[in-house]
Amino acid sequence: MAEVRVENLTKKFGNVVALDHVSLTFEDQELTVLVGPSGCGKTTLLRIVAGLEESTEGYVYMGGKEISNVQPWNRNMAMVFQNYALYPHMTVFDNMAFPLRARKMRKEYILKQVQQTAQSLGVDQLLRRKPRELSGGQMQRVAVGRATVRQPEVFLMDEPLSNLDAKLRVEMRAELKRLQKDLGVTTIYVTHDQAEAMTMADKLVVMRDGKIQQEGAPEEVYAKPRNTFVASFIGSPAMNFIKCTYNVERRALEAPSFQYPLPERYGALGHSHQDGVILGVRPEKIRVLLTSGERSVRARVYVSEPLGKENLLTLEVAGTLVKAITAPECRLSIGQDVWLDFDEESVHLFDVDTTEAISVA
Amino acid sequence: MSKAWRQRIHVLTSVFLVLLIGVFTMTPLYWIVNTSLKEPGTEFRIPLEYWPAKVSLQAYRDVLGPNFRIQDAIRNSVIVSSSVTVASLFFGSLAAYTIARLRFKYKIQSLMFMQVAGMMPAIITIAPTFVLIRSLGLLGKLPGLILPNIAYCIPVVSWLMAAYFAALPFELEDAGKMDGYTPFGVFWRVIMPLATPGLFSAGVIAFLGSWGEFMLALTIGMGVRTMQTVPVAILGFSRNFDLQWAWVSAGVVMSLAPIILLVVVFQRWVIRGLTAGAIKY
Repeated sequence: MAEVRVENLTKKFGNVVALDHVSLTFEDQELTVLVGPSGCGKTTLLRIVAGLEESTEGYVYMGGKEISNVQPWNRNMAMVFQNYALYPHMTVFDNMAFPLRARKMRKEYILKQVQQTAQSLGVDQLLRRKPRELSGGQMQRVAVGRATVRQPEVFLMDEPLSNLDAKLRVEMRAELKRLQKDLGVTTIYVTHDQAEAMTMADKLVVMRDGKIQQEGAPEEVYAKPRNTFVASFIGSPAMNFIKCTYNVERRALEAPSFQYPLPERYGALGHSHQDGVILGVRPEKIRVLLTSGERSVRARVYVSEPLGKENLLTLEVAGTLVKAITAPECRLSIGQDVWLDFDEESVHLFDVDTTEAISVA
Repeated sequence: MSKAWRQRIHVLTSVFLVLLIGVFTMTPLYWIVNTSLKEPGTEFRIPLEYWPAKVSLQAYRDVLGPNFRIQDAIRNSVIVSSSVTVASLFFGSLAAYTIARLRFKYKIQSLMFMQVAGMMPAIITIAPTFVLIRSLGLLGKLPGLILPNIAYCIPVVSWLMAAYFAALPFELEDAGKMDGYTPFGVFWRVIMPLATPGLFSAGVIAFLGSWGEFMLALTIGMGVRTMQTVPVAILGFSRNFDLQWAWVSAGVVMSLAPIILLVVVFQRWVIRGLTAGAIKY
């Protein structure tokens, strides 16, 4: 087992900067998720750690040793690919035995090891089949088996679940997480799916444009997003934003036909925020009221989408559309006037120019 | 006209065209077989015999006999063609793999450059090749024939194989490296097995090319009897006033046999390989 660390990694493809001076530690035995929109550099970072890609600048360390120039076949890391990358001309058994054969293991050991791994993944009945005779879920398991069979020091997973259908994805997500905990192998997991990222991560790293936006425990990233990008990327439906000005005398955030008192914990905002503040609140932190209350904000129903276990409301507030989640019993008609009560503790403020979170007083 | 009729006419036209092409290509073959079965000296008998009145294997006996010994030539041809096939597949595949899979400048250009070399008519390169082989001391020896033939075959082999390699998913290589294999290990254990159909078609083309090669074989051979390949040996059947078309035909039929066998055995692979094109780099 080993901790992996990257230091000051930069990767340029021609003029395109895929990674921009990224430094990050992947803790020993933990599952770290790299998440971000496509093109954010997460896969490039993973491939550099794997050794499949060379960095333009910077270093990679494993267990304290620098491995930047070690070839991928000497790194003792295993990788699971998005399209599984099973060898089509080999049986499931040969696929799983392939990494062991590279290490010149004894025949009996390979047989035992492959059988054990296949059993634990529930593919022991498929060992004689070729990959094209497997379903997507089965291929996924075999790919995981090929990675785990040789007990590597680090697992690298590049969107391993994105080719599965929604139901299977949720199932495999839990299984992979459990497997990682059982094996206790340092794991780097790349995904663009924020739900996958939230549920699986010990540590979440949100990336954009080759830079790390925020890293931390998933709950922490969710509760205290450092900027509007992280706030909107993590959480579904995304956080609502309302562009306001700050009225110093009244200590209130204002927009046309909208007024909201500044939450206590922000103390007094400086004059510098007078011209613009972005108020952010998550859909699940909004209560919808039929009558006005203290601190409540007026809104009009734009559309209501019943999801069974809850209703997703879209409301018009201060000229922008805002989403809120309500109980399924709450039936509202289009155009109806309502009042919104934001959970004060969950109201976030961001600087309109930098989009950074405004720090709490 | 109803749809069914149109379809019927379409099928009939297709069958007719196929038959026409078949007759066109099979006629010379038929005539050679016909001639080879005639008694030597009776090839030109009038009226023309569309099938010999008296089938004779005399021509085959003569050709295999001590005067001609075509079996030696066939053995030489087999040695030359198989060596050329194996070597050009190996080197051509390496080149193709590099061009199809690695990132470097001017890769398409380098492939094109090879094709230009491959399209050079042999007559242009024959003199320098002769000088080169002479300075290597290989005139009149089989290796002297094998080496240039490998060079002739590499362009077409790498052309076919590059299209083939480019179609394989890149992740397989990455997976192989992560599983602990060096790039050559991945090439050998993952890429080559997957490219088998391509290898078959490229291999057959290389084999046929070197099997029928005449000019180089004649020049490098220097008339040494023991290193004659089939085309050169058949030329030798014309002696003074003694050219017998039955002998030539028998020789041609015997030299065709291994080729036909090869194509029949591997045709499924060859066709699959040839249709694998339409690839972007």
